[in-house]
Amino acid sequence: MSLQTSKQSFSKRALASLIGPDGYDFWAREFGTTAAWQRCFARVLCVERNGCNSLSIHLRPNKNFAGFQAGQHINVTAEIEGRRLTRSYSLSNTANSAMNLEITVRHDPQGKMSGHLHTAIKVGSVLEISQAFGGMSLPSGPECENPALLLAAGSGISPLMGLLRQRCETKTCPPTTLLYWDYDDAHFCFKDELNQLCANNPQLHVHRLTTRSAAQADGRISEEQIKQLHGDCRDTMVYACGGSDFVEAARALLSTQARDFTAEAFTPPATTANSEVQQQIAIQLNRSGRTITVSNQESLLDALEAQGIAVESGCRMGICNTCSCQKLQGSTTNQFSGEQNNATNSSIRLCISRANGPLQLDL
Amino acid sequence: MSHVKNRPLSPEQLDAFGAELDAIQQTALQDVGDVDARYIRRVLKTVRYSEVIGRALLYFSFFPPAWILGTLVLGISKILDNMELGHNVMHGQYDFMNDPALNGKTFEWDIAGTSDNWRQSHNYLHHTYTNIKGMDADIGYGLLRLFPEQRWRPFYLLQPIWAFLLAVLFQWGVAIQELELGKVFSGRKSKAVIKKELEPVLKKARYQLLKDYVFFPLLGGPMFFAVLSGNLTANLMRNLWTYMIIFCGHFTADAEVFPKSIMEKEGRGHWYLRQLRGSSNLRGGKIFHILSGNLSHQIEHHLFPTVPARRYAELSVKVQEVCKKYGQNYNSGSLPSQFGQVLYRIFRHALPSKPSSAVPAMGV
Ligand code: FES
Repeated sequence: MSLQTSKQSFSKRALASLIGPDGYDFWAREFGTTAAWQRCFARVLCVERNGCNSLSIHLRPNKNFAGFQAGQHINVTAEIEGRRLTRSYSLSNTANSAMNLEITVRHDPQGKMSGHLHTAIKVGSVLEISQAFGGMSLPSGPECENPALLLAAGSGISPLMGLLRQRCETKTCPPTTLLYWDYDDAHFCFKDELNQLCANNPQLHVHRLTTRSAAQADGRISEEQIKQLHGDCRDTMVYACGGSDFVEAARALLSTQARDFTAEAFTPPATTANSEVQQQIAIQLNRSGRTITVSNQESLLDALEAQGIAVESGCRMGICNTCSCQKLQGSTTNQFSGEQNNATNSSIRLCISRANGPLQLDL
Repeated sequence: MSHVKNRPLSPEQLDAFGAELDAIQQTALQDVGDVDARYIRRVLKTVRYSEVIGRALLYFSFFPPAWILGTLVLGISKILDNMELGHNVMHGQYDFMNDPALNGKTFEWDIAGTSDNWRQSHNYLHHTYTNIKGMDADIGYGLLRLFPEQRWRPFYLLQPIWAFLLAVLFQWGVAIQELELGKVFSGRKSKAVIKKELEPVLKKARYQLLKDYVFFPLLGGPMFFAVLSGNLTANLMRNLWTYMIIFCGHFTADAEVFPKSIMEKEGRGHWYLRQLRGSSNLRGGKIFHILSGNLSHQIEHHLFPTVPARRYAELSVKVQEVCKKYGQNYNSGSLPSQFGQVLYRIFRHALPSKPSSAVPAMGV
């Protein structure tokens, strides 16, 4: 095995030294493989319609993918109208199947990416993915036997499904409760599988709660509800995933009394700030690990330099591209055209861009 | 001569002139999208496939037409890689796609010069300080005297020879331009600095030399020399072509140079005007434009360096209207005529010459 990989990487290196890493990736794609010099590409193995307005996509990543733990996410990149768009999706399967990644995508009528994944993605399509990230995973060792309470709202079910499946993979599933909120009955995913898991695991309890059901809504997360459906949380590991309001409500109720409290909210939508009003905005510089505060009234280049951060620049008027940098997250305005850029992972020119809200830059 | 062709503009007129060009750029940028993405992918594909086909043909050089065809295809592939792909991608024209393989900051091309040096000397210095004497090193590349405003020295008497050598070795000229070796000889640059700057340049040069003159020829076995000479000829083709296109873009009869003082209080309209007066276009067919990386539309490229170059032909119609309205010369001509003017400059200014007036009139 080790001999084989070293041989492989030698021929790969020899080839790449002749045609370059980009050439290597280009020809790999031309020959229909997902191999790449460094980047992770994944082929769509199957697409399942879940009947809850969402889609489960199974992906086989290339060898550059380093594996994942249940409950983590990946960034998925697809090209839509000439622009590559990136969105995060939770993995809903368990790490036992490292060569099979499952993401669940709910159709959002306004979402470009979910619309694209729902209409254009077929078996055999290739998507670019990132390495897995995120810290919402189960403990290892004896601690994994502790009771767990999983709180899911809407698409928050995806990573929790990974955790749940992982718990059910052990011979006897330790005490586990899943509370799963959604608008109404039609929106719940994984119905059959959850029923099946409950039938096989006496210690697993699943409750579906509706918030907007025409027949009868169970209401939003509350103390009584948790007491009634799960009981005391003192020994319990709590995992919550959903929109930021939901996660904050869960945190307020449970973070002090539970044994462990782990939560993840979906990224909030890009805020559209009023550029007239002077505002202080937090900018996270991912490579240097710093966070700084800048005004939304000046160009990012000026703002960064005023904080003593050396950034490459040239013309300072938007023509030479020297100051271009990857914006990982957040919204900016092009001072010159007034155009807004809300895309994740997109390249901006710092000298003519202003922050509209919190930003993450690859600096 | 050019002063008669260009009407001096008042500050208000300059502002209006700039605003009209801004608007043209804005409309173009708003429309940028999947057509441009598809186009540059097609160019990339053509570059990759033609390189493989050209190189493969060279391995059949025992049959002479295969050598000729292989060399030609490889030469065209290198020209496309240099001009329509590399040059334009490195300007950030396709950054909107967010594709790491077509990112202006990281793209690396198949010529001796490193992309990083090019981004500094070309994208920044040349495009910001276009045709300003003492700021834009592209004026004569530190080797030639093309404008009477440059001080004459006896060295320039032989400049037709220097110009010829520069054309033949153009990629190597680009490779060392950023090093400013003149400063090292005159002692204005320390040994330590030049050593550090040389490192990436030598690395790239070594890679280029090994690739074209050792590795690929060795793969040819008995065809070693045929492959080597094919690569050499293809590189020469690309050198001569890019030299000709670039010189025609800036050193025709009506092209102007400017003193440093022109930058004092230079507004946007004024900057546009300087770009316009420092550039010249070439007329030709579609294939000619593509092979020149659309630098045949040098004027549009200098006005809008971050707009995908495939749009320049379309934009040139609007730019010409604006030029007419503001009484500005739109310097355009056929390749023979423009290149003839370049050659005239090379020969004429080898000998002492005087500018017709000290400062070209820009505004009133
Ligand atoms: S510094 Fe030149 S584009 Fe920003």
